Amino acid sequence: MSATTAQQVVLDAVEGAGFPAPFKELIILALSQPGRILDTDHPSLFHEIISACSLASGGHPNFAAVAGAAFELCIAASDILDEIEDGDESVVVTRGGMPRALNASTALLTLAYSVLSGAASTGDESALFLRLSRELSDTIVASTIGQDADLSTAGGNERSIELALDIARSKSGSLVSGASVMGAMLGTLDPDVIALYRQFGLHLGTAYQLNNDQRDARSSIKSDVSSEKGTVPLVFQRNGAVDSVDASDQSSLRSSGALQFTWVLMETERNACKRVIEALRQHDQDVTPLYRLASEQ
Amino acid sequence: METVVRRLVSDAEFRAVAMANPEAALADYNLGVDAQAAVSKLCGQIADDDDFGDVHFGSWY
Repeated sequence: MSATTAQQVVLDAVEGAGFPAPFKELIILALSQPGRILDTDHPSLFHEIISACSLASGGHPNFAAVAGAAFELCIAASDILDEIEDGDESVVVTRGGMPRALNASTALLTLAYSVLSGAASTGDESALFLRLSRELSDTIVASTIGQDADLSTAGGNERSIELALDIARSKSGSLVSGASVMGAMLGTLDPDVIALYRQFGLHLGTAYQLNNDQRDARSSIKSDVSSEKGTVPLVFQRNGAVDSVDASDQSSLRSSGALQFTWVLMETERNACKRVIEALRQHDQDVTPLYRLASEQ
Repeated sequence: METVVRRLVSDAEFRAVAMANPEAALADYNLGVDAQAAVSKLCGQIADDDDFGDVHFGSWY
């Protein structure tokens, strides 16, 4: 079996779909956004997670490339929808218009499952790729539940820190958890070990989301502040305010303790993540790549 | 945890104790092991910052 990469799997899938040139250009644009699989300047998070967990569990790198490609195609599809749902600026919408951007999202999502079903139908590992397909579906469904809760809290009425943290867990926590499990499944079927990878991803993904939330709370580009979202830093800031709060006031974000509280929650999740990594070590997993994910880059 | 952080912000005396001896300051709070370690680390981070300024989130994905 010759070595392949997730990037190559994605490019082959796009090429094989036979898209007309303008549509293909839009698809490639979506896949080349910062942090996505065809962006050459930044690592693509979910592919990295699948690769690391596959490496840790003893999976084959080529299978990790296929799983990573499928996951990243789903994420590129979701990104387009998220930007539209949140009212954020979208390069794909700007380039192609809303209807074409939505159609590109449909194509990307379908390609993700095409990659997995293609691998299931051509090799000796059809059962494995069907399991991966099921895990990917469950992951995306869980993430949409988190996204719906997130969208429902916009408007500044959300006051529960617990709910804000639950949203962070169900949005990114579920995605990273699913990616971790997909990587782990390439090397092990032990349900206890798989459960640990799920916990690892849940804590890691929640930490990532909290870091995103503090970044977006300080951003003048993202819509979190203007739409008064129910993220952890913004809810904490609102709860501590005597009068109505100007969330765009950066000094208030700091002086209220909102950033510090978000940092403490993020660090707590990261500590929990490291404890799970140690448990995985006890199950003979090669945890070096997992520690790399849980450390600052 | 929310209570501890709000007190760190609003209570200078508590903040001074927490910076000098986080373990003692946090003893009355029922924090789990991971949260206790995180709040202690925060106390260390703010020890050199009198205006309780920015915390170091670091560079992640």
